[in-house]
Amino acid sequence: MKYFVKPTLVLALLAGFAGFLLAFVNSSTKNVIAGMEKEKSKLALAVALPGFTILEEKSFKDDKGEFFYHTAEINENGKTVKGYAFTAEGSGYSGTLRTMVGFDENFVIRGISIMKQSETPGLGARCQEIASKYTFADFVTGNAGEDEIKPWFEKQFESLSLSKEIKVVNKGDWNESMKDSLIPANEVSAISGATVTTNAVRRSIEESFARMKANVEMLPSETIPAGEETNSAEAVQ
Amino acid sequence: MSMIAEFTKGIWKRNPILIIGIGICPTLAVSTSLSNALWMTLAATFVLVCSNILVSMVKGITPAHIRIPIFITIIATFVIIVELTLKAYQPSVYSALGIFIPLIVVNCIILGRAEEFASKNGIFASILDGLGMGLGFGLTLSLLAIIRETIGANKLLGYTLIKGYEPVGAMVAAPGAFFTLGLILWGINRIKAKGN
Repeated sequence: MKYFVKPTLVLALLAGFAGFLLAFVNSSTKNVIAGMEKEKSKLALAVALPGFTILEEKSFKDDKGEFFYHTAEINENGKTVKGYAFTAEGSGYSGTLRTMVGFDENFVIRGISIMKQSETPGLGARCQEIASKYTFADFVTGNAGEDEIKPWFEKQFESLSLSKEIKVVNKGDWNESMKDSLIPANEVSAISGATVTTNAVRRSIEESFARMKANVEMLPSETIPAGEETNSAEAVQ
Repeated sequence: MSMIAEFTKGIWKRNPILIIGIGICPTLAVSTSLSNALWMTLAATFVLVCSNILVSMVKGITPAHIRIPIFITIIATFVIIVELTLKAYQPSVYSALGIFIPLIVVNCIILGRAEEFASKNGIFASILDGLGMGLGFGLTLSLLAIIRETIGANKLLGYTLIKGYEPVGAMVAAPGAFFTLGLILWGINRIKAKGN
């Protein structure tokens, strides 16, 4: 009898104490975490569609489930350009990768933002790494200033076209000077040692875009025929 | 053993990674950059010290045959506290360390110290033991991280070291971790052999 009673009591007491402690920590961090999640998706939207005014959140249903997207617009060179943003999800090397993707009416990516990843630290997790343009010597001597806030991996998707296939090449870590050769070829350079992550992001973007293209009418603003229903996919081409 | 020795033994004589050989998995995984290594050290040391305190406190009422579930409950509680706190106040660290924060639960150093030390010693000695072991873990992790980050990424704390130099990418990948740790262990054993 003693063999059961005491261990049960001790374990129950300890579990109760642990539960109490965790409940306390959870309740004090819950609001901070929830607020941050909200802030994060707002921020991601601003990164995906820089300068755009977000109009509304819409959704549609297809055989893969519900799909949410945002519509937006911006005034560029005197005319209104429409923009769209969606969240793409795919399996990376070790978990789900969630990316906010913003593109305009010409199907050109305006920006992407990785919202969630659980890739290997130092490899795939570098998809959120912000490359400092300062050297360690600058840092030690106090010459290092403020850095960019955008991860380089996300930056290389800007200006790529969604109507063509996006290719992944292994040219090492991206830098500003690679833009001229990569963008015309519609290519992104994979993170060194994390081609799987790079491919997963690319694939999730392409798959989600295909779903959106099949279900949402996305016409350049000036070519919308008044009161007429057209199939967006062909109309744009 | 004096109290000071309880603290310093973790750094060299009983260094958890280099001498005892436990906690190798997180060591290899998060030593890719110095900032990861430092945050990991902080998180693991916090869990180690807290669990040492609590294990030492309950050692009198812990029935021997269920001690492991009790230790794990204690360790897991503190790991979740660390996880929630990091998620709320250091989200960038949380996303950089990813799965390795929850995996502190199964870090052998923490369970090892609970079993070997805290369950047999007083609270104060257990705190010192935890701090010393955490420091030993942190120093080894940092040494590995400095070697791997400088050679493997040409960076230190995220800042580029030499502009235009192509880093040896393999060093930040898993093989680099094994090579580096292997070489360090070889060096340590040479030093130890000379001492005898």
